[in-house]
Amino acid sequence: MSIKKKSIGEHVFDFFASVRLSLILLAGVAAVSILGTLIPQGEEPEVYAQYLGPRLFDVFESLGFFDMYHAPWFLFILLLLALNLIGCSLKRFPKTMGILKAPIRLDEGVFKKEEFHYQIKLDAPLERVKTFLTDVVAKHYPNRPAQDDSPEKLMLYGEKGGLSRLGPYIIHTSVLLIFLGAFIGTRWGFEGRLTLSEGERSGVIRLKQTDMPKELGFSVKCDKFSVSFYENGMPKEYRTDLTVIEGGRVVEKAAIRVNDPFTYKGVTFYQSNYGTMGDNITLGVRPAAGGEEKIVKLDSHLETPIPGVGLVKLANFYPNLMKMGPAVKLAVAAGAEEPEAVVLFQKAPDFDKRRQGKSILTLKSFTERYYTGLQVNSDPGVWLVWLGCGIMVAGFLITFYVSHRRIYVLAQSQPDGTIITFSGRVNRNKLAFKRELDRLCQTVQANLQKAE
Amino acid sequence: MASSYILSAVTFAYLICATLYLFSLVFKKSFLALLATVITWITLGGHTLGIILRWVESYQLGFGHAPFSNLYESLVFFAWTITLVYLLVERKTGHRAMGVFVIPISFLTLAYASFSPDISSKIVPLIPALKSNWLIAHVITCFLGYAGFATSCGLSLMFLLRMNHAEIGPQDGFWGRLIPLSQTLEELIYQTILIGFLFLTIGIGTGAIWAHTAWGTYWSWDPKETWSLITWLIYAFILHGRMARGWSGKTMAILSLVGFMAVLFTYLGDKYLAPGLHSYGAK
Repeated sequence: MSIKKKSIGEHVFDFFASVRLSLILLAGVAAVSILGTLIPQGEEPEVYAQYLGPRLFDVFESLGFFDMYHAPWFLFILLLLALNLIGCSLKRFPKTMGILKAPIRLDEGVFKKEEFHYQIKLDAPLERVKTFLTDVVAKHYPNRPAQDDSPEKLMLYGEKGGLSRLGPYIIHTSVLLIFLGAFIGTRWGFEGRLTLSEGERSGVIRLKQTDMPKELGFSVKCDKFSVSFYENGMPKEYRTDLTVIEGGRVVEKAAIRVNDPFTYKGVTFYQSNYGTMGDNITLGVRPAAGGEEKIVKLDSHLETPIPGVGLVKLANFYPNLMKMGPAVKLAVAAGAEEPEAVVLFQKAPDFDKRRQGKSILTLKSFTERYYTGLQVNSDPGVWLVWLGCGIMVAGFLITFYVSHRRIYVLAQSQPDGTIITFSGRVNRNKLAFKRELDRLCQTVQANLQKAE
Repeated sequence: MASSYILSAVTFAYLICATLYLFSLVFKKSFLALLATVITWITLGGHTLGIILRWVESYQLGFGHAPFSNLYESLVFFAWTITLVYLLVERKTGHRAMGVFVIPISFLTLAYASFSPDISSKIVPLIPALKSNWLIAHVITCFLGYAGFATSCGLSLMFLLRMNHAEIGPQDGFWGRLIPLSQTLEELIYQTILIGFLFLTIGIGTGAIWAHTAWGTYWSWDPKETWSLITWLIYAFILHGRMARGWSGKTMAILSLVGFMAVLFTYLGDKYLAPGLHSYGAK
């Protein structure tokens, strides 16, 4: 016998199809994940720099340790795991099918090989035993029946639970489905945010990863936001009433709460956060050199030109800033210069003096209004993930709680009756199979003895 | 609240059960072991009653919800599942001595829930994020998984302690009758890991569905999520080693202890890590 030399392709395949690699990868993903829970993920760079110092920071940064689960090398390990799953499955599948499709040999030799043996002796002649025995085997082990019938002996074969051998392939497929679903979701889905004050309408969200705007192709209007509390002050419900507007027409109305999102055209809106914002803001403007104060209405969303000041835009509203009451932050752009941040407190009308600008601004009046923060997602791969989870659980049940049971029965005619030998083979849960064969023997004995 | 009194009494009763199991070993008396089993079943009944009452009382307070919403309630339920899984294994195998290794876990879990100053046993209403039927499915399945792993951990300890006395069998009187054969233990370790793994998988899956309806993402690598994955990977590692490479009982037993460390860290360790989506669990 000569040992055939393996080609490079076969070596590569064997590498990917080895359980050793599976074990290394499982342990590897676990180890890396532990590291990822020890280093807080997704913090601001400054936080890391402060802890690590500049040199370690550079090393960690280049290794992608601050967003480890999305780092190329982590995804590469997952890819290896997927290839390993495929390799292992492809390598073993033909063997499994060989077992499931193996031709059934009915000679007395098989009885020597099988693990379990039971023998009973009956007084009834073989002819009277045959029908019952055939029926009982066909009933309990209905798959791939075979028999060899002759005047001196009857041999029967039956099996069930062959599916159990396919269990591991089902589980491996489910993992690949989950990976595929996750890939589709990341590649073609999006995650974004949308903040709407009551009455506001928008069709553009801001993407989470890149902070870029994205058109939805329709727009949503926040009709109302409400929050309710329990008697002890804990929040009970956050609710946003939304109207979907497409092509200038109202197409749908919906209420969303936490745990109760709303989907339109594959885009799902989740209640995420809320707050209050200022609206109908009026500012007082008076020249620093002295003179009469004018009242100006500030647009809540657009830049408002104010003579003697420049373009003024509302950057933020604070119901109570630094315990000094309501305040606004404005972005004031005078000419081509960078906009300047200006904070005004309603209760401190002279606060703006220290800016030493040409005009002094004051916060005169405002109305407070809720805004709702919505998470806006689209994940075209999520159904594959759920399908994968379902198949995985089914795969576990099939693999671990179904067993491939094969049984051979030989009934031999004797001068004073019949000897029946039961033997069988099982791929797992040997104890349970043993009990099952035991019961089968008893059933056969009890029934055929009674027939006497 | 009646449920609090019942659960306090149950805590104390588990101490008695654990002591009885221990005495049955020390004094080699089978009837003490039988008594321990009977009292443990009764205690489990009281435990069940306590959980149901707590559920009812939350409705009487006007904001009813299933008692799986904070650390206290989860610990109470954890102890319940451990006891249940243990008693079922005991019933199936008839070996009562294993209780010495498992029932103390139930007792310590409940004692920790009752006496730790960081854990409030007050019934409070649910915040909006927790108002979901997936919460109930998620918590029940996760804890059945944890209980499977806890039982397998207890059995593994027993397996390792027994290793130097492998020759002792049922023929050798009291000890031999009480402690299962290594072979039986090995099979039980494997079976309980399977139960744990199946339920942990369902637990992670239902958690993912819940996260998806609440936050829009089914997986966000929050520390507890990641640790549940780590636990899952460790047990997947064990199962592959056993099925494909035929690892021995000793390897399985040692790895099962490592796996249970990961379970404990998944359950309680997130306090020591960066806060994540599960942070409300600590309150």
